[in-house]
Amino acid sequence: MRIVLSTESTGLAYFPGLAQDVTIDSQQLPEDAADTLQRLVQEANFFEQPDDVCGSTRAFDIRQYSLTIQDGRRRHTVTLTDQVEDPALRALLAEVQEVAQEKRQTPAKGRRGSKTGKPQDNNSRGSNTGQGKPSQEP
Amino acid sequence: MPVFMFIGQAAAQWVPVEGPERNTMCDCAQRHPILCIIPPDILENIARNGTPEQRAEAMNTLAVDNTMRAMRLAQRRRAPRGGDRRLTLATPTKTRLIYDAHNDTNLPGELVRSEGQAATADQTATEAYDGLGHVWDFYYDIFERNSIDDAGLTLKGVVHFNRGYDNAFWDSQYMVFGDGKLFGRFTASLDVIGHELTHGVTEHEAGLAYLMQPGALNESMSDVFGIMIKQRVLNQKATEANWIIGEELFHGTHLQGIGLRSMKAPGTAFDDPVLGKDNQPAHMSKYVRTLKDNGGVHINSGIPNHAFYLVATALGGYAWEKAGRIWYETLRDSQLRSTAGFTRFARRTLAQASTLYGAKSAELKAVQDAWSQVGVKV
Ligand SMILES: [Zn+2]
Repeated sequence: MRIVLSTESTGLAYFPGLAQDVTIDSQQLPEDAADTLQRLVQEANFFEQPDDVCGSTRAFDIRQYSLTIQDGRRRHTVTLTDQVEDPALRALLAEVQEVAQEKRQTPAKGRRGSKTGKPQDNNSRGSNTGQGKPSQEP
Repeated sequence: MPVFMFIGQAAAQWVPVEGPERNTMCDCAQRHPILCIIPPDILENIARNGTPEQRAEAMNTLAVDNTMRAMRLAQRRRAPRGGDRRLTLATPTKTRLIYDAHNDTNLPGELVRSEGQAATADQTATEAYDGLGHVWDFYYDIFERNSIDDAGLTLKGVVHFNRGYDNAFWDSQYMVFGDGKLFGRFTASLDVIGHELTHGVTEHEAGLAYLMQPGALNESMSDVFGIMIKQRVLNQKATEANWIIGEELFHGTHLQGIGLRSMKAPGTAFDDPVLGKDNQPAHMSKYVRTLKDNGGVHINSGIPNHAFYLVATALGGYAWEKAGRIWYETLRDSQLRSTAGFTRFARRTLAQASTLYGAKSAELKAVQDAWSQVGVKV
């Protein structure tokens, strides 16, 4: 199972580091961590969720994500915010964020030691988001 | 009009979705997240005033998601702008309610303090209560504004939202604070509290759309008023203040930075292995085009933020005395549309400065110089 967490909006301020896509390959996780993710994906009925779980459409500074999961031949992307109401989906997002945070804090392992953390690894996302990277200041 | 061009390009890639399975209340169909929050009036504006292609795309979008649109229109109960609201009111009084979400994400949680009640042992709840009070006082004492909506709205704060939540937001009803994990607790920063509640003020006044340039202006308004609220409590003049947004969030952490944003020197607030480097521009030549962050609303706000800083420091004294007055009147200006970009906004600040201080005033010149320095042509 492969999970791509793309943070479209990092909340109250824009943090380029937190906005980078994080790819999680369950095969490279410890077994219990991989099992937990697998269970949460099932409990959240992830592949049956609508594409967009917007939450409040009038929230300012809220964080927004798109979560893409590929499991075997199934692949699905859901966009959501921190206000997502479905408890199972919330639990899944929380766990993915946790794993993503660990990867961010150990960049050497996440970005060089394996193939999983490459920021350009966003081919699983819709073409309309491909240009989403902010240009860096010269 | 680059804002609309950009939406047009994004809209061209939307996949129209049909069929009965698309009737979930919150289902926004296959859109980029930024499009979740495009207010229908913007689409309507494009449909009316755009180029033929833009109009076609906007019309298509309006048709694709009519249910969603109708729902949002029903939610929009924006009071009419202008001063007539306060004429009908008795003596304004501040009313605050503080809730504790107990680390859950269901809003609002348990009511822990109402207006006038004694403080609880929870420092976070106390900071939220006091912070909301400072915001209310600022708007009333300086601008005679009766709460966020200028009609006595109860200010509601929610603390301990989620677990170690590294953010604060305004959901049009509640001001929501996280306890922070990477950062310190969000109630510790008064300008952050002012920032969030000012989103409510903007929503009730210009209603600046939360994307691209209008979104960056919306963000900038929140920083401008948030920082003035803090400066007033600290009794700081414009030239004495540091103009850093959210500096308390970095206190006692390992983060490499001095705050979320610098209005004095945008792009210099943080450079950290986890957060990345602050990429706010201070000049139009560095404007960042992106689809992330609702089209860079927290990025390009650096440009109008810096313009405000320049006006306030050029005029001296307390920022709210002149610069703040000009910005506040601009926010209330009926000619400032919800879709305004930087240029249109800048023109309205000039018009307000001229009305308030005269066509040959130093104040007007300071505003002209500021926009010129940040590369916004008026
Ligand atoms: Zn904001």
